[in-house]
Amino acid sequence: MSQKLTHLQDLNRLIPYAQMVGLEIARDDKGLLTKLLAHPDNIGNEVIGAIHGGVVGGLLEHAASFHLLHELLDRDTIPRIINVSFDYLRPALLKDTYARGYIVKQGKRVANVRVSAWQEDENRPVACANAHFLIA
Amino acid sequence: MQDYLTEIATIIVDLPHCKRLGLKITRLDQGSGAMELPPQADFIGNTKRQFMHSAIATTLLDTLCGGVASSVYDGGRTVATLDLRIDHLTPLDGSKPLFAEAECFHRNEDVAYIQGWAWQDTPDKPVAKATGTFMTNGKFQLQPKAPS
Repeated sequence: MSQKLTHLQDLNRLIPYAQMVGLEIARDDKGLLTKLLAHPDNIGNEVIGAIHGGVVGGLLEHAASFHLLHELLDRDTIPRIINVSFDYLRPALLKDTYARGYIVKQGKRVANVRVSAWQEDENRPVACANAHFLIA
Repeated sequence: MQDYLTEIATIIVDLPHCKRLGLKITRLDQGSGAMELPPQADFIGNTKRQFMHSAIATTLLDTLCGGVASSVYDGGRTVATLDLRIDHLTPLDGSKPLFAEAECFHRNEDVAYIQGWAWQDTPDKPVAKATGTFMTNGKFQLQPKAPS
């Protein structure tokens, strides 16, 4: 399991976008986590100092694909995203932000993934998303 | 451009993340607008095939749809994204600029409904499509500039 995590972390480190905004792959007792580091360049609202909605969207999309990579064995290609629907629930302030994915349904060709992002409390999400990926 | 539209456009391109990406607003009218994003090596999400990360199209369309939602009301208003749906139609060529256009297709006192498209080669070959819903928050306010 930890070998797989290391592999995903290595893969993530090679992705320029992930490095630009500060996306990391980690693990806790509940499973795989995608982390967006608090990075001043990610600010999209200077009045309240909130992270740009597009970067929060990026975290959710990235977390969904890495969750799929983690669950679908023997795959190294990043699954292709078909579409995604984001709900913005609370302002995401300039703090580390976490996201966790959950596969609602995995078919032969398409996977439906739900992702939730939070900052200090997983029960108070800042945003969530539902995405479809082509996996075949 | 009317004063408040110029103001909205300036505030958007000066946001730290928009600056980092190098987003340009090429047009902002009341209820519609256009943007351009020149490519950067840092935008790549798939190094094997040199595709941009899908988050780049998401960010471009989120920014533009939000800006158009702000522009809809006379004098401008601040808005908060309620939801955003993105159809990622084709992979994004990492070596070409991204262009986007968006327009408001319905509004009331509380909510502005915006749709947008992004393309690379020609406008009739979209690479992504967005539909967003934005809650309005009263009058537009000048955002303080970050200390330089």
